[in-house]
Amino acid sequence: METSFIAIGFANALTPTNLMFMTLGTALGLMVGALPGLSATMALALLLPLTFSLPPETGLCMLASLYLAAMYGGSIAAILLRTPGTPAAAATLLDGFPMASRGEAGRALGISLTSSLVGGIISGIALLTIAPFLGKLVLLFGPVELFAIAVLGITMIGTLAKGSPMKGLLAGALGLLLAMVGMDPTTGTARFTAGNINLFSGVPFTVALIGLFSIPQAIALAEQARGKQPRPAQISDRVIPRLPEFLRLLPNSMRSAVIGVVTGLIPGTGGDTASWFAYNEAKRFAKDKSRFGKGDPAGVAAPEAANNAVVGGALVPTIALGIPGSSATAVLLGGLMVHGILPGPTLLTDYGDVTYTLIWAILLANIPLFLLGLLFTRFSVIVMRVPRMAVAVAIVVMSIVGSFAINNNLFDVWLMLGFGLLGYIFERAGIPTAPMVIGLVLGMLLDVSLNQSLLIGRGNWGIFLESKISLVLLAIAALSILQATPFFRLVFGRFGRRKAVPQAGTMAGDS
Amino acid sequence: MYSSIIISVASIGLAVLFYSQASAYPLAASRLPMLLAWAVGGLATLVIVEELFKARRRNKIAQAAPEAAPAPDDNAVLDSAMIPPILEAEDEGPKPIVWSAALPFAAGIIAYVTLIPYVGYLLVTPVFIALGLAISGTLRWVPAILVALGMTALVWVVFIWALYMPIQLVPAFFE
Repeated sequence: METSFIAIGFANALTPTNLMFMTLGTALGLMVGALPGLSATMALALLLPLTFSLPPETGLCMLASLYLAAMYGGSIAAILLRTPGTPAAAATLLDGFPMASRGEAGRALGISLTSSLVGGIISGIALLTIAPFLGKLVLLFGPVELFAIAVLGITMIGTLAKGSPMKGLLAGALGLLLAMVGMDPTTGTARFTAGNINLFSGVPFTVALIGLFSIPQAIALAEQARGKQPRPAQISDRVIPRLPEFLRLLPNSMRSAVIGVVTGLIPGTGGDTASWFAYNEAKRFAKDKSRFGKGDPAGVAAPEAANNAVVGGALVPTIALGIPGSSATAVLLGGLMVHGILPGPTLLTDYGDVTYTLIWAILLANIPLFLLGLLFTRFSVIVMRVPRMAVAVAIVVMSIVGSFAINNNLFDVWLMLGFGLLGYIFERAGIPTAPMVIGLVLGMLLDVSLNQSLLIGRGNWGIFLESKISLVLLAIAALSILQATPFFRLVFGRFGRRKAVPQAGTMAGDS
Repeated sequence: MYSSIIISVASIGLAVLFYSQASAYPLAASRLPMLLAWAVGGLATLVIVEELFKARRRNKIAQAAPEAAPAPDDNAVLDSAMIPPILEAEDEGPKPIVWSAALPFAAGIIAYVTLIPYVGYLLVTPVFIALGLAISGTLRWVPAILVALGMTALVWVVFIWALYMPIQLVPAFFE
């Protein structure tokens, strides 16, 4: 059965229509990635409504290739402008921009492109091998274990999110609470709808996504509109790297790709964490560490291989468990949900044909990425000159039309703007929005599995402690919540400081 | 600090509202919402405590050595274990709101959405784009209008012509 799904997925991904949409997604991803201030998640959310009229596998092929291409596109701005196009490209600028400054912009971009290719291929292979294995394991899980997985997923994403873990957890809990709006799946009771018929089917996930990720970025761009737009460095040298250089950087790229896959597997961590880890490791393995930060090609290859490898890693929990590992994979999951494909272990069985097409698309999208990357890189200098206000108004128009397209309802547009305002306020208060999105996705799964579990346990909450898997998962979740509290840090911080006193003394003495 | 506290207080209010409404629902429908309301309330309280604790410590440090650089907070200490020092220099924390730009832009978005059902997409969209580009000083009026018409036409081709989206295109009184 699984082998046939793999074959169906491969055949689906290779149809001319899907290849065409993969190329379109790649081109859009490169453009979005190259524009500073725009994230891959925002582009995915904005393009989600476009996939409604497409067959699910075609839409997913486009979104997957866009995601992958935006990861590479982020490095273009980092290298040419010293401003990362996406947060995942922040580490790339450390060595990429010094290379561009000394007239090696093309060489830096070529290294970035080939490393992204290595990262993308390794992540695709990892996804193709790990996800089905984990998927088989998950088929043994019942509602009790699924509830525990969902709880662990939201707590990990909340605590590992950028900034204060408490704020991350609060955002996640708020997302779950908002997911309760609408008809209760067990009793059919309309909950928290205030009598508004538009809310009976719940908060439309796609609408919330568009609002949370697009409007705050549009307002931020409008805020910077009057500021001076930086001029990108010129590309005067060749972009395609020479074979000896590619081979010399290959072990570094492969090691960084593995780091990216493993980092992506952990829910809540993303391309930015992976690229910094990979950069650190590349520096640690380097013979001459002093060259890092001054334009060492290894400092470009490592973060770029890692951030592209995260794509496959983050999709493993998304596909196998139905728990998105990042906000971008949550949008991809949203792409499945709009076609009636619900997250959970059935993704690899009941909807295996579509899911395996997505997996193959992640792997095959590397081909258009490499080819278009070679062609687009020189053209990207023009894209970066687009004024910020033009990008801001384009995002707003696309967000409004896109959110209207979901249900052909103006209420959704207002709801999207409400979420946009919420996202903007959250951003300025340092509260991450990604856990809220994950909460919105997982709310229904959590509700259904909780009620099913309690039915099995005849109302006894002890059912969650009877299963060993559930017990372990809930214990890890409790520990991750506990370590996020200020009291935990206060107690362990004091303990740590007490232990650190003699060391501090030694250091003082040294000086 | 204040923005986090205000959001936390609003979250507690939302949790109380959801809890009180959920208490009227059948047990299976109210179980998780009530649990989550408690979780939101608890976490929001902890965020407030954390913010006040940080503010108190910042004040203490400022009083003890006003000329010294402020000490990193708990999160910065935690983050520094994972992230290279260069990122700390890049990470400037949440940016302040530029009210003079954010407020008119937000007002423009609200006006744009309000007017679509009455004035129609084909009229209000180029006006919104052209005003945004010209008033912000990004482009002069003529190029701004040309760009606005081009962008409107592009979105029309993709969403309305290709995807058959039934949005109000022309002023309502024309129909």
